[in-house]
Amino acid sequence: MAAISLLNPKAEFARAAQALAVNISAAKGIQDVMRTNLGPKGTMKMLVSGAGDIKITKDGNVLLHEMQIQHPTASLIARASTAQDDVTGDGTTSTVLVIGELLKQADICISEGLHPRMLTEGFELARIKTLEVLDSLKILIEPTKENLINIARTSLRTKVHPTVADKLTEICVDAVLTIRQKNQEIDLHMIELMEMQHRTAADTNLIRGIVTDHGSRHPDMPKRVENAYILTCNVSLEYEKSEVNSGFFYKTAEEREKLVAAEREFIDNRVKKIIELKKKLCDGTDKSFVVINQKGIDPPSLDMLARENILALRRAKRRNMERLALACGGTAMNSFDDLKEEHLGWAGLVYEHILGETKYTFIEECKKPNSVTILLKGPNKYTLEQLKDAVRDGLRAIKNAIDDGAIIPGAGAFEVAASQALHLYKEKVKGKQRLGVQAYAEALLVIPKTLAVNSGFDAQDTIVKLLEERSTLGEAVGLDISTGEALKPTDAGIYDNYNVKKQIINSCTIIASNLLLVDEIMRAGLSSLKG
Amino acid sequence: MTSREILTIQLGHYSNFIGTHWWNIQETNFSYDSDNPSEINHDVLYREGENLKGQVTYTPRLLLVDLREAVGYLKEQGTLYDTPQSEEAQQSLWDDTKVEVLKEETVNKSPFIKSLDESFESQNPTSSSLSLENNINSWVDCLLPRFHPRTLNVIKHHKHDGAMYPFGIFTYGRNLWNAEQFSDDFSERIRAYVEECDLMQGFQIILDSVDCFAGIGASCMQHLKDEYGKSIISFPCIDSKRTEHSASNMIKILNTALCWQHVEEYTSLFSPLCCGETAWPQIGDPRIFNHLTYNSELKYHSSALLATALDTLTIRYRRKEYSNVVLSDLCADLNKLGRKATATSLTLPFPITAKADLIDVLDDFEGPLWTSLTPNCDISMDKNMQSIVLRGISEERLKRPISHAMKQISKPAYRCSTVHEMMMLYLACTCHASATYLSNISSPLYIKSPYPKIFNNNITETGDVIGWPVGTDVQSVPVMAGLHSGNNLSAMYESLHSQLSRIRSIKKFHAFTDSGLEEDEFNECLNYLLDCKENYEDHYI
Repeated sequence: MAAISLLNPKAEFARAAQALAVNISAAKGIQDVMRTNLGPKGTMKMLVSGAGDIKITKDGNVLLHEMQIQHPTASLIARASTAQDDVTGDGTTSTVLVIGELLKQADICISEGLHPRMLTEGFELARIKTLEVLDSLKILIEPTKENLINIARTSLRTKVHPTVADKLTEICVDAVLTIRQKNQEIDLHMIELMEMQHRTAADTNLIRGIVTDHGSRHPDMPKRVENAYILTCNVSLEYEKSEVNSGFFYKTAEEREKLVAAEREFIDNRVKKIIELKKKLCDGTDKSFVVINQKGIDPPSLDMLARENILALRRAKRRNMERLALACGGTAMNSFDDLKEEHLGWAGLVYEHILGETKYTFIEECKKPNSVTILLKGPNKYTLEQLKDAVRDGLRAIKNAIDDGAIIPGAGAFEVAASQALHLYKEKVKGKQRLGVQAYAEALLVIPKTLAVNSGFDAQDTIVKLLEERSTLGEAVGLDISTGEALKPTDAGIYDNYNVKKQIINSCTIIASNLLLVDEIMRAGLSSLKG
Repeated sequence: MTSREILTIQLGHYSNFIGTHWWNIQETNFSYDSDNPSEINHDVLYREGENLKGQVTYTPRLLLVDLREAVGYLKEQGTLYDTPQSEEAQQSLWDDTKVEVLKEETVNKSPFIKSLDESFESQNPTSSSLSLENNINSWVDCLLPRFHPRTLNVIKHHKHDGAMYPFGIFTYGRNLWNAEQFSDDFSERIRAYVEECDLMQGFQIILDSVDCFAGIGASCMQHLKDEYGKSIISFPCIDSKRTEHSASNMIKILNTALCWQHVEEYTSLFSPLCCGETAWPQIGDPRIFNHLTYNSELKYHSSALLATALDTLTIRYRRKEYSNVVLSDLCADLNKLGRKATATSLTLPFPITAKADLIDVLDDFEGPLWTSLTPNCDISMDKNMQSIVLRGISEERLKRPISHAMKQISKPAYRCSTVHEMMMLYLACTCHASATYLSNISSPLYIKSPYPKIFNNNITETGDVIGWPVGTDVQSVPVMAGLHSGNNLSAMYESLHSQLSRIRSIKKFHAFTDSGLEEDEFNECLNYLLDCKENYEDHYI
């Protein structure tokens, strides 16, 4: 009898070996779901909801978000790996695989009578050693286009078909390099991902400027302007009756209308200020004027602007205000007092594109765009979603590489090297912890093994080949997924992010250790909270 | 004429039931007869669009949120904006051989929806004799309109009765909003709707106040207020299904109180809705309507009543004739002196006897004119600021012409020449110390399936009351509904406060404290309820 059952007879519980078995089987379960997705040759998963909505993905993070995981242990693992994604943007599937494998290996040892505590101490030793190996494999890089293309390609090819992946690689690298500013951290928010349900994925392209998903709301406004001043502002150009005036207190309708007219003039004056500036700067030249407002613009104001041939957009995205300032220059204005030329941005070309009921406005040919847009195209919603997930991961991979200033060889090379190093290190460890180190060494091999299996090769054969090559050559050796032979990732241009691997090693060790040390699972008290 | 648009937001399962009935009612009341156009400007709540095939669409300007299992067969994108799939377009983003398909069980459509689909295809409406009461598990089972792709938002991480993360906690909802992905998507959709509007009136929000959706709603309103600064009218609602007395009742009360506190802060006007006389500590007896028999246990029934009230009372700011009467006027009329809460009333049907005129009906009237739909609050006739809407009394039924006037001529109301004038006179005489804003339109509320059959058999086809049973189904009825702000609401606040103060320490509710509710916030909420109660007390000397 567990102590809890004395306190609460309704509590459910599982003790010691049973608790461990629960955790291990959950870890195995979630590992089985994810393992087929690893690597460029992994399968896609198509999730069809009860209503027939389709989602196609092989991104571990997306899968974990889409699947409703009920088992508490499984959901703990799922959360750990989605946290991995939040930090690094990649490595979700790997996290799940490694945690599962660590527990599997531990299960073997524990069934032979080893105490979980010994194992976790061994894991800890192994973790430190593995990080050393990781550091030794680090390849320092300069953020040049060639280097970044390799890392982006490795990441993207695991998400989408190679032909599309190569196209996206180019786009992602260009995008990041464009927005990168000296001595500043890269803000990926400055790359806008805009979806357009149109044509095919291959038409996806990079716009060195901003694309907004709305257009002018007045039929007489120009659809295409060149040499445009861009005024970004956050000022309401919309007349709003205030709630202060209750209708009960007016004697007549005229009295009320008079007040409305007076308040309306206030808005008109704001519009006049814009027009004044436009006249000063543009009249008599070939320049034109564009207003992009975060607040609303009502029909009378639009009318006034249209008469002056000004293109005006209302209700711009909050984030776009910042992006516009970076792409076109100028500052976002919060009031029109003292409006001057230096507050304005500039774009060579602004035009509108209409698709169904959605208008897109392209603001291009900026002088020095520090914010860009990746225009994703695809025939349907789920293709777009998939592209978006892939591009997001590609961008993260590039950012990670630049931040780290380093990359490491991919294709399972790191895991093979670490496993081998741990086997050597094991000899130096005294006591039962050694078994923990050994289990860890075996567990890491799950990555190259799964890669091999997903590519249609025999797991054992491949691992033996790789380990042999590694010991004879003494340098990083990975798996060639098209032949099943060993290859040098550096020759093939297959690289992984340093911090992704580091994060995997750290979080997997901790989660696996915690799960191993659980000796009692209870579930009590929740019933009173249901409903 | 520009129409002043309103964006409607529905949060939660019961709210979606109400919303569904509301949109159904509106579609039933569309007028396709160009000689007799609708008096209601439907463009206020609907939007016109165009799909990728170039077809014109007319869809509710609506955002709704629910859990996945509630939306059943509904596709997230809706069906109006489907694109034709050509084989070429299926360009290879992946190898076809490498796709594993994980298919959930296909959700079956309810018989009613199936019959809708069939009649849509065969182009002739079949009169369905389905018993809807037994076939409706979720609001999607009685949904007439089709939605814009933006409309539907599904929360995937919670289940209705999930043991792992029960969805019944206010703070969980707040945290969900703060989790970047959800609020980003949702506020982006709001922005897209607002961008389309030329001159918005504001927002209407219907939300469940007893569970996590209250938290989502509170955060959403805060966002709307910060970002757009328009009038917001909200309706926190409570399902009238009775439950066993349990700890979860306390949680519901706590959720409701927190919900109101935030709603009060961010909206211009709000009115709690429930079909039960009381909503705390337990759901009480159902509100009684003289000519209706309904089952308050069924969401399908009770939500129809609430929807009728909403549809009617919002007519004030949805009329074609007075397009400059807007939501902000309604709010300004009623929300003075910190009295942002109002009580909702409904008179269904407006009891006009067959062949009688309004003047006689009003004269013979006894008892209260309206039934309150706000829990723990009865509406008195006196000392109210009120906004009332009457629909379905045509000018012909006002009084008899002078040649046939007979006794009518002796009544003081006989000099009134319009329904509006007569009703105003009546209300001025019967409601002591009240200020009333009355709107009336002559077209009645047309009723068609899937509206529940709740009328007693002494109501005729056109909604008149007669003294003997008739066998026909009701096709249209006159309705009256209103919002009332008066001292009765202090009782509502007081009862909620006394229930809430039974919680001695918030620490017992660990699901709340774990997700970020602090003792101070709870005490603040208690004080808020007291403050509000005081705001509603009249101190006439």
